[in-house]
Amino acid sequence: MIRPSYAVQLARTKLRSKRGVLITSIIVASLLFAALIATVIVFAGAEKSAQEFIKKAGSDRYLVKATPNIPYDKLTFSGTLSLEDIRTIKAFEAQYYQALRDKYKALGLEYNEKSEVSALQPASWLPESLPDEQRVMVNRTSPVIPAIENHKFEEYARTATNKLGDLKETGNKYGASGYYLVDKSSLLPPIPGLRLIQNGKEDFGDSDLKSTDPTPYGYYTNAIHNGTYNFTDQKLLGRYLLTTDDKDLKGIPVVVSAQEAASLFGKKVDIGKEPEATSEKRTWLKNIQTKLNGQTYQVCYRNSAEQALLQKIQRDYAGMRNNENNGNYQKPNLIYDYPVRACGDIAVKDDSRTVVEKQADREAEEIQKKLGTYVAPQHRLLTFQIVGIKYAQPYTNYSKGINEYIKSLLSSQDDLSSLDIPIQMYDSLPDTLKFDDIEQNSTTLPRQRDDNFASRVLEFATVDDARAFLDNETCPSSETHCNKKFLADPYGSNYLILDEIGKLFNRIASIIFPAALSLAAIIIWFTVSRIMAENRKETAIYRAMGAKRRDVTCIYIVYILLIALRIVLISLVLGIAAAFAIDYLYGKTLADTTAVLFGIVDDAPAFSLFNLGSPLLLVIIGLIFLISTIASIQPLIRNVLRPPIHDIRDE
Amino acid sequence: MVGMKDIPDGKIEEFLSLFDGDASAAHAALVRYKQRRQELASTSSPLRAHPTGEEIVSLQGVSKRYKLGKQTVNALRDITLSINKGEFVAITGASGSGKSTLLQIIGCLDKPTSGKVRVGSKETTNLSDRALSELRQSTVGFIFQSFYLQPFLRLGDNLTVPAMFTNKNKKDIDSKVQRLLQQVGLSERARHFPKELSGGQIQRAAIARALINDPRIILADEPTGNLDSANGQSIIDLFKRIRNELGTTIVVVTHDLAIARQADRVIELKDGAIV
Repeated sequence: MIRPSYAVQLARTKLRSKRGVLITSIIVASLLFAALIATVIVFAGAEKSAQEFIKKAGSDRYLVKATPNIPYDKLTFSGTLSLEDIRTIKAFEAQYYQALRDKYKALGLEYNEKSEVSALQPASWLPESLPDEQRVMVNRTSPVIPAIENHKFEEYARTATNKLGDLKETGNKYGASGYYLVDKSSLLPPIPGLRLIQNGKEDFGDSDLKSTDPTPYGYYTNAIHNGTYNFTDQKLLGRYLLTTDDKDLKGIPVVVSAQEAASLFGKKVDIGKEPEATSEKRTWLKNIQTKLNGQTYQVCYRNSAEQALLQKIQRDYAGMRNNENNGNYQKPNLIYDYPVRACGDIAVKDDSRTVVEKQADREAEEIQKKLGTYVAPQHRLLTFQIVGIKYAQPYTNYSKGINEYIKSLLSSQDDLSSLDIPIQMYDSLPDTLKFDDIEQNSTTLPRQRDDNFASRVLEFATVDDARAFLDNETCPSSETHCNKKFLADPYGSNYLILDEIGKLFNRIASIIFPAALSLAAIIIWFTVSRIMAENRKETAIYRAMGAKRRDVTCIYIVYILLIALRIVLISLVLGIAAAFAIDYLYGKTLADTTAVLFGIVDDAPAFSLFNLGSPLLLVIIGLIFLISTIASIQPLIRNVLRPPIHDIRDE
Repeated sequence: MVGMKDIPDGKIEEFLSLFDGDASAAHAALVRYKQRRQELASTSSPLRAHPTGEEIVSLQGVSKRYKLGKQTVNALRDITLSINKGEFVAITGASGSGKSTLLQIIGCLDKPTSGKVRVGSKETTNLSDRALSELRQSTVGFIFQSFYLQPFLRLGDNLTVPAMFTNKNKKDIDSKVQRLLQQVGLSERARHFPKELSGGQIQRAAIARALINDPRIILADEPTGNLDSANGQSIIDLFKRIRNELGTTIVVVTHDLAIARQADRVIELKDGAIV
């Protein structure tokens, strides 16, 4: 058989024939492979950098947040009611009001049936084809509806198999531990339900949103004003906590957003608004972390009775202002005034009630007390101490580019609209600083009070365990029709997110790899077929000179490998250059962004989108050779089997 | 006396159709044919090799038919001939007379539809593709009208190509190339590319390439077709020299009678048959 060196020599001469077509094909195929190579390099870089950040942030754990999959559609009433629902509501309503009547009677009170609010109201918009009985909807102002829904939930809870115990039983099969409480509602209303005290004054402003931005940006930049205070296990807040020292706490420990911290304390400590430029955000965040760690702020918690009084004050004052010149206007006969001191008592300003009116009010209060529905005005001055800062991710626009995209990957798992109270630090507070004794909000559903149904974060030893638990036992929380007991997602920027990045890469790769490979194969097949057809006479001359079929095969295989080698070299150069350019353009910004997102402002690792360590690169190089060879088999066989005389005779 | 009775039954009409039914023209042709056969039988015959030489090519009753679209072309009809070692044979004939087909059958590039071919000591009719390649490699050197040098190989490397398919030592090949270039007067041009050479130089290089594997037969298809008469003559002189010095058999297909006359023997083909 022909020696390899001769085969190379002859194959190289072939590379010079049909040069234009060949070079074009090599470049097009190389561009396709370069896209794959650049994708691999960038993803490998992103994955490695994310890994370093996660490690640095101490989140190198496999965490999954699981929530019981409660069939709310069966436990609450919405939309068109079935006849069965309607009959259930009616029966429950009859019982409810009968019990109320009995209670009045037992207490010797006069019962007024006109005060009953029907649980159902007509719904004329429902199709006329429905029976009259069914053309109704629930009346949410009726006390019957929350009562029946609570009742249904309690019934459900009795036999539910997705409580904490069940979760532990399931999770333990996969070696889960932790079961940390997360985002447990604290029963504190969000500001401005909590009245912020600034410069010794309580803020009685109305509750409009600060921003009119319809996007979540308006909410998230002002998280503290709209977010709820949630209890979260301290072990999950590590990346945001600036201190875990609970000895000298002067208030309820809380992790707030950097944006809100800046708006609350900015002027006091000379911190401006969040800068637009990513490169400046890191310094801004560092400033906030340094200056605001340990800062305290005070709010006044006022219970429902006091909230109602404040609303009355606002209403009465507005009415009086609007009717200043109206001679027929009759002032309310009982006027309260805003408290003089911050978080002080709400005092009566003007009481012009008649004796009879006063008597009636007193009697009404007595009745409420007898029925157990009376709520005495109550307020508590609460002090919060900032123990951690988290960066509230503004509205993410995926279409803006790779920077936003990677940002979304790294941050999307956190609930950034909540303010987290680290449970362990809170527990160590003296009772005077706690707010355990505040009135339970009557609208709070039983499931919100029940730790059995609270979200939990499970910690797994390996990504496989976490993945198996997620796949076998749970549905993603985004799934609307889930038949499993729990809904669950990877939690926070932990190692499982890397697995998510990997999955995303696989999803992208499963589309672009076959597409690029088939396109490249078609291009190579077309080119090689054409060139071999062009070279038929030359092949025949070789045969006339005594070349055997395997000699010709050998020359062409070397020729194909030389083409593949050129594709490899060009695509490597282009792919590496593209990845390098992407890294150059986005690396620095991403490093800043990630540092801000992770709250690592000092000695943050570099975020590089350039990593040549992926074994996939070798796979791609192998694939280039393989695809080139496969694409050339058919034209090669056709060419070699052709009797040389056909092409010599053509002369 | 020659008459139509010499034509086999059932073939007379076909024979007449060749002369548009002109019986006297057909008769005259038959007379010429008979006379020619008698002449050949009494003198040295182009159908038979020189009786004193060693036979190197032998064809017996070789016919070649192939399809061209829907038509069947009888490229060769019942050819029987023998060529001796060291002979310089010219095959002539009009275009389409089957000269090139005959050359390709002798060179084992094509197989006859019927008949037997012997090249060297081997009967080629039933040889495998691989054996035929080996036979071509060891016995035959081809020279084409269009030269077919590799445009992107230097002259020296071009000469090497047929040797690449053998197991010869590279050193031996290189020294052989040097010698051959010297013999054809192209030593100075070893590093040149074909496009830098004249037509005559290229054809000399092609001859040198055909000699690289020491073939016993050189088969040249219109080797002077693309050359002027001076260059054409120098190529024929080169053939004679090769034959004289190396004892190589030379078979040249040409339609140039001036060249054919210089051969030891002329085989004339007409409509695929020797005349």
